[in-house]
Amino acid sequence: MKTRNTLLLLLLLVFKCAHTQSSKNMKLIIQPYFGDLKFKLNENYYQTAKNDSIQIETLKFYISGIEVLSSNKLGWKEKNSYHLIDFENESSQTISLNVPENSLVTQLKFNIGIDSITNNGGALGGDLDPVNGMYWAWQSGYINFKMEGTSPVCETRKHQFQFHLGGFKQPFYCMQPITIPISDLVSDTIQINFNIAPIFKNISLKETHSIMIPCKEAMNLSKVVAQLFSIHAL
Amino acid sequence: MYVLLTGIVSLAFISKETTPIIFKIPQNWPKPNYDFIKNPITEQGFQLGRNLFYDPILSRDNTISCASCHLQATGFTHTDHDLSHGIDGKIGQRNSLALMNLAWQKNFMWDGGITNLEVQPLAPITNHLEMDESLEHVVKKLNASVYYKTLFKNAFQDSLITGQKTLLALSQFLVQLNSFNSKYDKVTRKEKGVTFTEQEKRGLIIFRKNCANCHKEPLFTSETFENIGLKVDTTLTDLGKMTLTKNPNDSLKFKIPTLRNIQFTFPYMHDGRFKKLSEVINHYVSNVQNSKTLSDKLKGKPILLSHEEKIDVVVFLLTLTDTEFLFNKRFTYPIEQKNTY
Repeated sequence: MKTRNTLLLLLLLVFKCAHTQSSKNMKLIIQPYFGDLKFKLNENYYQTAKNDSIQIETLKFYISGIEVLSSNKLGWKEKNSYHLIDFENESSQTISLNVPENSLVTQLKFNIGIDSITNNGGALGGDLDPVNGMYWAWQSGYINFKMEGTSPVCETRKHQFQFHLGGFKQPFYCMQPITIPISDLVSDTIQINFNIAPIFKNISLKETHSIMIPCKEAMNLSKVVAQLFSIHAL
Repeated sequence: MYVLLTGIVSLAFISKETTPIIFKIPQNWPKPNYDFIKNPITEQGFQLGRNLFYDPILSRDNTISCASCHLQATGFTHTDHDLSHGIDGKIGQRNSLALMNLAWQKNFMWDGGITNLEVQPLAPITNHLEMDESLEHVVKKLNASVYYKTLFKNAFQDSLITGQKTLLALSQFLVQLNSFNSKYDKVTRKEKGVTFTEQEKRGLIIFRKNCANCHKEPLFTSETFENIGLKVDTTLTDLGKMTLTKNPNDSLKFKIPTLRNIQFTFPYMHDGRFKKLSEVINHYVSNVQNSKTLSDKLKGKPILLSHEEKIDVVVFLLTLTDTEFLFNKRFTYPIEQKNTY
């Protein structure tokens, strides 16, 4: 009985705190670039560092576990934080965050990909619904990052290249944590630039044109992808 | 009578609320692995799953259903074919597994690649040799069907069909496919008038000594992966679990299947190489191939059985046949519903 009362009191307290703590809506926008150029699907051919010309038809990935760190202890962690960013669908590039009103944001944390518990979670809905084409079938697990396109340098059928990065079991646990320092935030919008170009500095499309399973190559490329995010400089 | 009763109950509650199904755990069985809290089983969800299981709408050209390779009368597997076949008459790469007592399983497929029952149907749906379809397109087809709109509304109080709901409904059907009424079960439960013959008793003793380590009672599987020393079929060169994990220690390891209803689930092994149980027993007695990853349980000490003992084991295995399961009308093609709507 006593513990029950304490619990009730605690609950009340939590509710009160939650009530008095007002929040503000911040926006997180993911803007894709190819080097200095704004990136668009299907539209242009881009020139890679290795002088290959490429066109990208599909580019989507999961952002999960979003966390905002604040210098005055008013940090915030998103619940059920799973977002499919699909450049075919512009609205998916903007994520709403309800951070505490007076927080002084210093860091933004998130993962590229899906954690192992969620990967074992069975049939999930929303952005995690397997209808989104981001779930493997012959083996359990989400595709964290999917990029498909063409390049004349690929000696494959229709010159296609396909990178499906994922895997949630060691040694191929591909999810990557990302921390982005934030200073002098002037508005309630954080723009994160996502620059694709370095991917093609790290791989030669002539040799590597398809990664479709959890493997060492997927791990390596996932680490490269994690380096592609940066805060938009004003 | 039971079927009739539930039929009446579900009709009475249609589109108003759902009728929960209480999941039965047989006495002395372990706790099931399936998360029933996340996906509470209802009569409406079960019936929807049953409809989906028998519907070729899940395949690219609407010709192949789950039941094409998982037939009830043979323990929900495909008999008579070493490798199961799918769309356009294409031949698959492995022998389909029998479906039963799935709520207790932690891993699915011969290579254990799938770790949750709910996502298991994605494998056959998308495999190019099986159904060659996408979940996205299945959902599109289902959303265009008035029949399914009604069934989904009954099951989930929402007629908008999603991939998640489709998979959850299939699981609601699959976890009900439980077999625990074989002669073995009845003897174990000390039911009146059911006893083993002397030969069955002898077979059980030999089984417990030589086989039960991997084919652990009461589920008759230990849920592990072992290399049982089968000679590699060079037309397939199937490395089993290693194909997925890339770990050489997993080479030639396959899931240990349940032996329940083994009488009807022939042919045996991942590639269906044995047609008869006697061939399987003979393999363990005299054909185990040694290799680095051979199961510890088969290393060093061969299973020595006389001709009579081999027959005794087979006779015991036949007591694992559960005709109540194999002919349970709740699991058959849902003809009565197809006629209702």
